[in-house]
Amino acid sequence: MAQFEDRSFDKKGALWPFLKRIFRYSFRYKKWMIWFCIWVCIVAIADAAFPLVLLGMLDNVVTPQLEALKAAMDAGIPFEMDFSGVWLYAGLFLLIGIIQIIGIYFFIKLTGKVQEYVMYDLREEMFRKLQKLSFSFYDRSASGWLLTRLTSDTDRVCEVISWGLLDAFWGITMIFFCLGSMFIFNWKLGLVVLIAIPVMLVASVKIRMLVLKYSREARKLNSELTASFNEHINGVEVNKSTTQEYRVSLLFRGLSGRMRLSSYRAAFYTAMYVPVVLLIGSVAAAAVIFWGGSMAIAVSTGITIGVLAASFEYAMKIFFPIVDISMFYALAQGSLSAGERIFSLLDEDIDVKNKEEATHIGAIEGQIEFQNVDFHYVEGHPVLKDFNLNIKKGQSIALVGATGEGKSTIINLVCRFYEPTGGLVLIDGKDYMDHTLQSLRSQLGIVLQTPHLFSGTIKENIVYGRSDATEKEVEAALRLVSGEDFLARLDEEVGEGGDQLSMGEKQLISFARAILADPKIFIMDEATSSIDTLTEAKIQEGIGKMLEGRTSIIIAHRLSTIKNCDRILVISKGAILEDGSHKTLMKQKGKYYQLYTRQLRKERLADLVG
Amino acid sequence: MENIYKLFGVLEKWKNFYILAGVLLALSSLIRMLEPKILQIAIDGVVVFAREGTPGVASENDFIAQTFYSFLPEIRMDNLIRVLFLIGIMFLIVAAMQALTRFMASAISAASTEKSIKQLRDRLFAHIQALPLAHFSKVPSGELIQRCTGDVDTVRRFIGTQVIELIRLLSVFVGAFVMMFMVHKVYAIIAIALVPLILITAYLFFKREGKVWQEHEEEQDKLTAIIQENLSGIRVVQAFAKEDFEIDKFVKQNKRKLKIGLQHVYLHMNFWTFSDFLVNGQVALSLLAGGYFTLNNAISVGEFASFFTYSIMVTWPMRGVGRIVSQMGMAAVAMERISQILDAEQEDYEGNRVKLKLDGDIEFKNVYFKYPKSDTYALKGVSFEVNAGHKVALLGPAGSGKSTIIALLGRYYEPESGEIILDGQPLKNYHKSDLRRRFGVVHQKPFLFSTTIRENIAYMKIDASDEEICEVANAASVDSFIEKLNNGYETMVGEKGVTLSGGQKQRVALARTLMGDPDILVLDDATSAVDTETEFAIQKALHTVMHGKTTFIIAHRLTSIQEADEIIVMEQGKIIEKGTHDALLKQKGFYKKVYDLQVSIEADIEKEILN
Repeated sequence: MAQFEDRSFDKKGALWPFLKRIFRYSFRYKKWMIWFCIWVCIVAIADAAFPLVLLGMLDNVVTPQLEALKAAMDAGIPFEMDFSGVWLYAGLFLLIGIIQIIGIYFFIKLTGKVQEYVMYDLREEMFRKLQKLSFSFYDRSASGWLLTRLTSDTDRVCEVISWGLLDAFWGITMIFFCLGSMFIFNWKLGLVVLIAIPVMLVASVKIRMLVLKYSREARKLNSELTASFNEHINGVEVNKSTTQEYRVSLLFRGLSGRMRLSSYRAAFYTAMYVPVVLLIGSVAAAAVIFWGGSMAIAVSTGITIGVLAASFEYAMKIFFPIVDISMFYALAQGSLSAGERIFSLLDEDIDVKNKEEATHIGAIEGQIEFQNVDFHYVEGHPVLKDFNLNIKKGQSIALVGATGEGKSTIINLVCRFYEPTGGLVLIDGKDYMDHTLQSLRSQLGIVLQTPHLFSGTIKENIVYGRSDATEKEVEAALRLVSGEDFLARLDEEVGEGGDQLSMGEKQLISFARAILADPKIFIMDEATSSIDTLTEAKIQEGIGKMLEGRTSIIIAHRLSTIKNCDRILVISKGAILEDGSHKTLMKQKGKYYQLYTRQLRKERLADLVG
Repeated sequence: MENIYKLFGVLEKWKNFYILAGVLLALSSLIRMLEPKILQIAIDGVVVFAREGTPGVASENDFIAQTFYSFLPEIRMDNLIRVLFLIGIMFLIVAAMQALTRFMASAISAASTEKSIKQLRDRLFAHIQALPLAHFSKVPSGELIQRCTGDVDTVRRFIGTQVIELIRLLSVFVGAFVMMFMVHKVYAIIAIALVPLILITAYLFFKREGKVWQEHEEEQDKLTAIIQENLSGIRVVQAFAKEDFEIDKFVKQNKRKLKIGLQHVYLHMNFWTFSDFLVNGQVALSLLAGGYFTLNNAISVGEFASFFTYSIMVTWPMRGVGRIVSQMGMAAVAMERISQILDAEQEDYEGNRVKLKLDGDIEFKNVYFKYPKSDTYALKGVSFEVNAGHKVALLGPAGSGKSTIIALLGRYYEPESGEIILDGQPLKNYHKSDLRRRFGVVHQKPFLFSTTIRENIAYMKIDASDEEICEVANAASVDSFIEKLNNGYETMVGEKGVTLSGGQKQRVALARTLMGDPDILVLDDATSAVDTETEFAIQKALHTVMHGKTTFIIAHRLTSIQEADEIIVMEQGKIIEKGTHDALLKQKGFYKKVYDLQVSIEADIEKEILN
């Protein structure tokens, strides 16, 4: 049974390995990363330098000038005010501002580039991996879950290494330089701010984590909410006919109530965040006013007004880097599970892959042999045991029997979608494990149960297996499957997944697609079960011609398809129960006889309804 | 404007709380303005005084500074430390008040937003459940879901985040400006000289950014489509050994996504550089002006220091305002789309709540009906009578009007003319809920909910006991395949569980209908996908369960119709034959033809097997 539950990744201590691994991707762009770090440093230094300009202006221009003015006035001499200092410092401010702007220009550019390129790389790496993963992997993964790994999960993770990193790096350098300049001018005031930092950081991270917890919860509930809308809008007719409209609306209220609560909680802690962290910063700022002021008035230690004002600025400013650092932490924590989902996909073992020394299988003739093949999907539940089968070149084989008895398994093994767990599968006497997957599969013609087309024109879909096919070959293939109607519609778009066409039309095209390459081995897995009778009748006409000159293995319900095969195998519990032509088996009056008569009655009745 | 009104209308009874939150938030921003003032007092009143002996005084217009001074004791040379300490305390009180009001404002606005959004969601959900079925053929379900989720979220962001943020930013701007204005008018105006420019650039940028982002999303969607298609067709890809081809296709689109992504980055890069330049330029300008005014003794040193902070406060919010204003337009559109749903007229359940038990006497009197948006009549003068407890079979090709009769019986649509009588009363007199409650309809392609089989069966009776479940499951032959499932009745069906076959779904749906103990049962080709043996078992069970109750059967196989008390043959909205099996055979019409065909096939089969 399919396992749709995703693994849970929120274990402790996973953060560091995750970050290490994801940063390896960004360091593929080493040059950009180094320049990024340099520019971030420059911006942080500029940010830290701004209060120093104020300091300089107060201490070197304003205070001395005012003192001089006072002295001059006291002495009664006229004083000519010198404004050049004001220009100097305002200019200095603008200069630093311009340097900062250049830094901002480059770090946005570099961060954005790294983000986009790593996203690009990650997506491509995952996509390549997905092409290689075997059917066994797809059996247990829902495609919707896989899709999110290449889209939203990738976006989330890349945000960590770009803007997240930017926040963290800027935050750290900023703290470093702010503290540095404070310590240079007055280490005591620097100490006050230094002490406040860890307190702010702890409080900050604690609250952020609470926010994260509840917003995660809210996100989960939100998808439940969407699912509920989805269900009850699509199922509204059932609700009306069973008069459950009111009850389901009440049920929905319960869900939306839980959603309200967790969104509110997330918002509550978010609301708490800035005030709490700012308040801690304010304690430091108040301390700066008090001690700084005390020191400024005490003649012996006398710090300048500029230092006091700048220290106050720093104490208030230190809030921003703290916010940024904790933002990075929360971002990394929040994308941890996305990251682990991505890496678990990249680390997934590929069950069916080419051996290192695998060679091209060469042009195949079409003889297939199973030698003592064992196979199981799940350990301990064997599907085939010591299975032997020899299919001659050009022979057509029908597999019949109930679902789950091993028919599809035989086909899966021939196509090497799975590999035998024991024994050998030989194609033209060669063990197919010694050869490449692609060389075998490109010579098979396979039609699966549910036809799948790719968006594009009808023609593009038909030539999917052989893009170099000529118009004539396309036409011949369509005629062979009685799909002449499509000749005039070759350039018609089929829509996403072939949505614009009916199931029957899709299957007809997939027949033409399979036959176009003139495969030596032709395989049909319940290919006619999902289509309407009209199309089926059409395909039926061509099927005899299709099988001519090819080895074919067919699983079908339709009796006429089965009847005309050279050999019919009744498969039961992974073994061949009956083996022979239609006539011989009917004479035996065994399992085949039973299946046949029952199916015949059903078909005929169905024809009537048509 | 009307939309803005509608947007805030969502708040309903929480409107006052929301306004309170807005006021508190503005208050909080104003309190924040006091912080630089305190530094100013510390510098002017204490430090400068200590050095020069001139006591600090607030300028005459600056009543805030005056107020602060009035809280402090008279500043003398011998109590400076104490005054400083008091100033520190004052600063802390202001900071705490600021933090508290801000927190309260955010918490209250979040509470009222979440409550009103919950109510909006509930209203939408209930309203949709009460819309007439015809509405759903007009609007695709995906569109409805998008409105209930995405658009509601947009409205939520508008009320909960954008408006609140706008209030905060604007009050910071106004507060800081007023603070400067009170001290020095010219300086204050210089300090906001470049602000309009910042505001306009931000607004224009975010408008443009929205467009590029849209393009970005489109490329992203294309990429997603490619991945999705590849994943759902991965077996075909591998069967045809076309992995490299698929990778090429993917890489091409991936590159396009990268390109537009980078374009988006560059757009940001240019904007932030330019707007930061304006911001820094503005602050530098303020600094220059501040220096001049201080040296000219127009403002004090302390005031100069506090102006520095104010001028930063006044500039920064403007970029945010530009962003928010440019995004707010989206909310109006979203609200409009939501209102469309809420304004759609609900189904009128009118009628008296009289009968709780139906006998099942039904009469159609010359009923004409056509579906909304259709030109042709689905029923053209249909008249027939069904006696209570009878079994009626409807036969005819697709589109002949069989299902329409059923839809009219449940009052999902009303006939255009003619009348339908149930138990001697016009159908219109019945309350729709009562009516439908007593009707059990099973469709050919039933809809099951993505939950356990048990919950699906007990859909109409959520507290059903195990025995009750088993009983209906038995009658519908659900029990025979349930045993093979790992979790039995607790097995999840649908997207996150087991995919049931068509026949299995039909059986679960039948069990669900039987659970409601209907007085009238309608089987609309309800066992078509079930194999012959199981179908026979179901019929036998139904015979007991529905004994004495009116039953409608729409089926193709004559074997399941033969025993009906009345067979109605329809074609193009009209009844062409009516009567029992035997009577119809005698009529030698359509029914006879179909019957003969079936008999001949049986003979064919016998022949073929013997050969």
